Amino acid sequence: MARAGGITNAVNVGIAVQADWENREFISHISLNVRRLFDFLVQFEATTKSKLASLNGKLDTLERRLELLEVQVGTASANPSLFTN
Amino acid sequence: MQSSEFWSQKDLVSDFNFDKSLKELRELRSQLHHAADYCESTFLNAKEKKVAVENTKEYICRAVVTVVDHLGCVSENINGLISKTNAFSEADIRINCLKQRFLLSQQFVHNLALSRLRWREIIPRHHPRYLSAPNTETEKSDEDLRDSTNVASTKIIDKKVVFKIEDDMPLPLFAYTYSQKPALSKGETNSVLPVRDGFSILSKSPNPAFHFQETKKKLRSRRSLHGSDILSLIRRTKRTA
Repeated sequence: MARAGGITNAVNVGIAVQADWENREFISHISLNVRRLFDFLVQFEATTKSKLASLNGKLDTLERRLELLEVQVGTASANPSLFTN
Repeated sequence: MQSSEFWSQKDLVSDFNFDKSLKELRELRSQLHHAADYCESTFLNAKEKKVAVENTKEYICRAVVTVVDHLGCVSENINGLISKTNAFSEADIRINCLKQRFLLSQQFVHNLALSRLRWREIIPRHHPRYLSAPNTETEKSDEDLRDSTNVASTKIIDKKVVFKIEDDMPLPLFAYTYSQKPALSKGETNSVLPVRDGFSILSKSPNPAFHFQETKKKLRSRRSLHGSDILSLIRRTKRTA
């Protein structure tokens, strides 16, 4: 009887240990996936920043070109005598 | 016009999608916090701990999948918004078009001004008497300028050149006309350069001949020898007289 109780106790401990290891494995899986998510977010931030920087550069060049055109048109329209006569 | 409206509608739709996905992600955060609290309380209060743990595990898996889905949605929206460079290319094309039109109008104005000048009734004439003859001293000064490296020394040379001109020629340069040009040096053809900028009917001056400095020095020595010969002849004639 006592031997049977000891066996059941050992079995219970074994089951508990196995469950504990399963839980640990699950937690490690979850933490790994969360880390992957974090990596993805960091990479995404970097790529988004670079894309935004390139867009900013494009916008700057467009602005400059527009300003140049505005100035040129302004100087041309300031001398209407060129177009008359 | 229709294309711009279409693009604006598309932009509005994408903006709305992005805002929606971002809002859902923010709500998910609070939901996960609430879910974690609930799982904790149920685990503490439940008699069957294993069942609570299994439920929590399942919920965590689903929550991670949902978070990944939401993040993917948000990132896709951001990526779509950023990488939409059609508007930039369109603006670039428009600016190029405006630039070309402006250049065309400028060319037209230039042509107009040129034709106006060409068909003017009174054409400006540059009389040769008011034209300054190019003196050889300037060439000399140019050569000196080429040789010299110091700026101060060039100034001194220029001053010397001016002084030489005054010594050699009793009359000022502008008093001579083109027909009565002074012979500054023998064997050198003087060319005329127009003084005034603009249209001139006169022919272009020929390019001045290139001389080395050494040859000029030799010429000077020859000239001095020739002068000494003349002086000796005059002396001889005086003696004979």
